[in-house]
Amino acid sequence: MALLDVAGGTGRFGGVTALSDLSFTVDEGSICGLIGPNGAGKTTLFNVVSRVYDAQEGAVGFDGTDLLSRPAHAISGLGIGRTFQNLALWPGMTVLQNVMVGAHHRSRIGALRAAVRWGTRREEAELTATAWDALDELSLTDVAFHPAAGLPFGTLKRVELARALVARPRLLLLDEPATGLTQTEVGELGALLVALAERHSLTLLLVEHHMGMVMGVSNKVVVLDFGAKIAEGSPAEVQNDPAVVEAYLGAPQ
Amino acid sequence: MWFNTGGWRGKKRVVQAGSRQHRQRQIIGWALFALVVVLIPFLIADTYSPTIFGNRYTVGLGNLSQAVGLMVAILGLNIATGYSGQLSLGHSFFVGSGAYLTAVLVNDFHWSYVATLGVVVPGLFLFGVLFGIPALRIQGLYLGLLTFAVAAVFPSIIRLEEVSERTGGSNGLLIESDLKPPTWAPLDKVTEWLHAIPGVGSRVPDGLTGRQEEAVYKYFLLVIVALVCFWLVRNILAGRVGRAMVAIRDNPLGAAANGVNLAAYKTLSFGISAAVGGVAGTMLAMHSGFVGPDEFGFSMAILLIVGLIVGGAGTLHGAVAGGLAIQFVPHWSSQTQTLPGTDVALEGPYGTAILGGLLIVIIFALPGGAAHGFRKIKSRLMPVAPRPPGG
Repeated sequence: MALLDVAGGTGRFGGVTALSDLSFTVDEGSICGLIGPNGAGKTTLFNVVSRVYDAQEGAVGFDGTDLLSRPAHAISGLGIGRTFQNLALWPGMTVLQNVMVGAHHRSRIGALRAAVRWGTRREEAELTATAWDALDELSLTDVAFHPAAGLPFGTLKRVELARALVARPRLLLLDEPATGLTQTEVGELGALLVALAERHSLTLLLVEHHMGMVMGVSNKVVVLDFGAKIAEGSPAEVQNDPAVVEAYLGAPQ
Repeated sequence: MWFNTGGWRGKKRVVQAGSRQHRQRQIIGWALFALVVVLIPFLIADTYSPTIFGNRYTVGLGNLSQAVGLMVAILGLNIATGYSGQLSLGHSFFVGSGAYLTAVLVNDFHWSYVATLGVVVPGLFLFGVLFGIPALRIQGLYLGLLTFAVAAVFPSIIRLEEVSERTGGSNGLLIESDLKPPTWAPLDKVTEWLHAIPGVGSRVPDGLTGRQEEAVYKYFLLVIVALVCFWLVRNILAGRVGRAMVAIRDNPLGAAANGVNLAAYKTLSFGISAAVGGVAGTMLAMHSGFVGPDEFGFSMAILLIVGLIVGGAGTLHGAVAGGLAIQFVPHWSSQTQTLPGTDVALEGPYGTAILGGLLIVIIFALPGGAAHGFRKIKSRLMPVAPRPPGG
């Protein structure tokens, strides 16, 4: 069954059509790779799904909910988490605090109750424990009390992953998670993602330039070029698609 | 372990957060703080006036009480600007509104000072929320400009003919209620006890005059109100709400993607900021028994921003340091009558120049404000290792 359903999504920014009539679905429990040359519209699609950008036309459905009618801050509560290509962490907060914010929509205590400490101790303890588990899962507990500023890029990428996990998403959008990793680490990350998806019953939509990893972990691959879908199918199908070869390597003379 | 356990720092005993030693250390710290807060009003009840390099400076209890009010004002500003990152140059508007609301309620409706907080806090909260709505659309310098205009307009609003009967217009308002210490308060006795303390005891006057008693009593009232404000704000900012505000300040995109409602939290931060600012206004009215329109003009708005930055934006200690700084630095600058150490008389507005010079020095010497420097020194001398949950 399709968990994410993008139907005719079109996004224009000024004169640029970043997405044109894009349609594809992501099945629940699957791992879907989203690839394409730079500027193909992959991150734009993420931004449309997480409601940072508006789509001018089309519809985006998530488990039957019309996403385009929801504000950006409601997306996390619906069960969609995301990580960012260039990180969207809070440098002054510790790694632990960064991850705790991920559970924002699952916690309830507002300013009035917090002011008189009504139930805050318990909620904080719960949030800390949840965040700690996620850090533990991603081997980040050593840096838990370190401010996010000053840590290596690869570590911060994992912090973002931990932050996304504590929100308990059903669909996780990963924007180039392997950036800044060595070849060995990329292989480990691929295995980790598959394991995480299994353990947390996640559906993954993965933007990545490391073809080996995308082809290795994905059940399905969608290829974009200039905002339009040029191919879709199993990794093997896509790899042999002439349109994909052309988009990446240019047409044969 | 990620923290530095080697080198000369390693020789200091690293104490684990929440351990017995850590708690003991905290208790000792708070006890010292309480001791200073309780002793100081008696020590400076007779205004302390040292002569340094040929200039006579004063440290009076009145100055200190005023500083306590300003600390709360900066605390409020800190919520919107320091924590949530919404540049507000109009905080004096809230402080002024709180002060005038208190003055009118005490004068015309014969409320007690403390009771007026019941109107000031919710009233100013709503005010702040309204104020926060334009802040949803504009940011940074433009927001600063807009809020600055609001600050500049406050004195004119007070002078409007329609309201001047109540507000006193340009003349300001003397507030009728006197805050007299209750008869059970043994302020006179306390001075006797304090004489017994070696060293400082000799500075405590023999018995207090009626006015001194009143000043000491007011000081303690203001300190209690301030402590309550700091406690409440600390609680709000220490948890989920505080993290959401900082998240909005440092990366709004990330905040929204993690479920933080930007609009709601921005308006909330303005609301709380204004409510705390209103309390500061009530405190300043309590302190001086007088409100005038020009006290709460844009010069106060700027001074509060200065206090926020010098003390340390985004920290609670910073509000304390900032309040002291904007009260005492201008005061002492204007008392510097001769070039220190010489007989050369300073003429003209030297006070302002000295203040400006000091600010430049402070900003270079302590980037991040006094609170940041304080924190650095503390973590060096008394390192505390954070405790993992369940560990």
